[in-house]
Amino acid sequence: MKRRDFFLNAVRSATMVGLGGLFASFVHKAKADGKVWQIDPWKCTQCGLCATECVLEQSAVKCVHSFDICGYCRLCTGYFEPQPNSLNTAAENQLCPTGAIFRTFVEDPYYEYTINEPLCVGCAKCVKGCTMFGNGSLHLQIRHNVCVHCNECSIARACPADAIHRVPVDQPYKFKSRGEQV
Amino acid sequence: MNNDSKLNRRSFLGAAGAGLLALTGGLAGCTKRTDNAKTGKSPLDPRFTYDVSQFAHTDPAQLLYQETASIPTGFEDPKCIAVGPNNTLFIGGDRGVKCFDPNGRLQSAITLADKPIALAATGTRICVALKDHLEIFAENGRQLARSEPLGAKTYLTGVADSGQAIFLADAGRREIIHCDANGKLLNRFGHHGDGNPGFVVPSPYFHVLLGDDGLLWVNNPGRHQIEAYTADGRFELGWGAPSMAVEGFCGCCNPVYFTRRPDGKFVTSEKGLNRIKIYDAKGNFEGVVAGPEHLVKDLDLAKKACANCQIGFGFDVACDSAGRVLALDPAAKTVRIFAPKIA
Repeated sequence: MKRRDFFLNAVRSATMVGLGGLFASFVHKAKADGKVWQIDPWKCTQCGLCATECVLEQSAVKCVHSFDICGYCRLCTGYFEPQPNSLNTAAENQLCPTGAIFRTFVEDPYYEYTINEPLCVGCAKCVKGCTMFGNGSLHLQIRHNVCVHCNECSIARACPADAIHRVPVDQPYKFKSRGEQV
Repeated sequence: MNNDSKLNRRSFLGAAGAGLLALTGGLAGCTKRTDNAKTGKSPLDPRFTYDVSQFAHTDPAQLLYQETASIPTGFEDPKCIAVGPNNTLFIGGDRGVKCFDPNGRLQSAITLADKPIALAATGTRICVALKDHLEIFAENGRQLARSEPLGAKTYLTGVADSGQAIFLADAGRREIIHCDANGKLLNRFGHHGDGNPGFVVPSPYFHVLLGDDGLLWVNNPGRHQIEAYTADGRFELGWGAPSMAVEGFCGCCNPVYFTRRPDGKFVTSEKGLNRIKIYDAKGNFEGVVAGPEHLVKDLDLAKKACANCQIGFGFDVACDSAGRVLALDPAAKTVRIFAPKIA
């Protein structure tokens, strides 16, 4: 190896180590204050920016479901198009553009709705349908196994409702629950 | 070092140009992101957006009523409305019930220990449904009776009083509770079976009304129906169908409130797409009292004004002897009065 190549490789390695260290320090800093980013579902206006403003290619924001406040409706406005042809699982009747919600029969006339999170892009279309007509059991949360814990969350910066805040790392979620309902 | 690796003027200018281009692109991207943040509008394709605006407009030919007046309730959280004989208006909210004369002047008030959720006024007494029990008052505000708590899961959202019997709608247990005149529990009914379809009540909007026809009328929101029962709980008939179109009941669970006009016609109120409509005594759609564009002009403002309006909310309705529809607006905290249009 020539001296020139040796120095070039050394500089490259140092750069990579430095960038890695910088990223690690950001992550460490994000968690060092004992807080992480989370959405307050009661402030969220389902504007759709969570799907586009995250630094990740597929947003860390996902739809989650609070089963204890769900009505298990046969005609779920978070699952069905506003005016479905029929109340079945045919693709044209489904609201979710990525097919991320599964509908399973419980007992007449009740159905359970579950989210397939890897398919969810966090667009909040279902959340809006559920919140507008139903109990708002579908809501958005930042998934911390996906989130990269940016120092300044780009979704929080864009959120028009100021619904994204730092929350304690030991209480990283703000799930809706029955007790909060009016 | 050979001459090929030397930086000449051409390659320097080329690299500088490329850098400038990249910088401009980056800045444009940042600006676009800032624009999104400013407008609060997502750049997503429309198929990622929930849009029911096409159903939010009322055909003027179907609009049978016009708004003529409003009465401030003075409540921070108005919950329920009833019209008594002589068009006396009763409004429940916060921790009390207020009585207004037909011109909207406050006549009297009753203080309660908890939030009232539903009211019935017969002229001789006022029945107030609270979360898990019933309280009965004379018109002067003196308490006449109070029921025992009706169960841990009970969440009362409707009350009807015939004078001899009281019927309560329990959204928590999805039942109608039949009580005697003093609020003593006699019977519960409404579960699926024996010809009864069963009540489906996804959210706490469940109401009961005694008709002049001797039937007990109940909204069954999860089935998008108004149903009639005998006093002993036998299902008689039901009408209504789910639809975003104006003739049907929209969303997952509607209507949320209903009442009847003196001529027997039904007045229904829906949440989500706030609509107040008229159906004849057989359930045939007749027209609109007020559409979404009349009832909620700015949803964001309504949400800010009303703690209970973060999810779909409805307007409780009552009718006076002239057929005027009185709608309780939880965001404006007023009673909005709609009178039939004069042809």
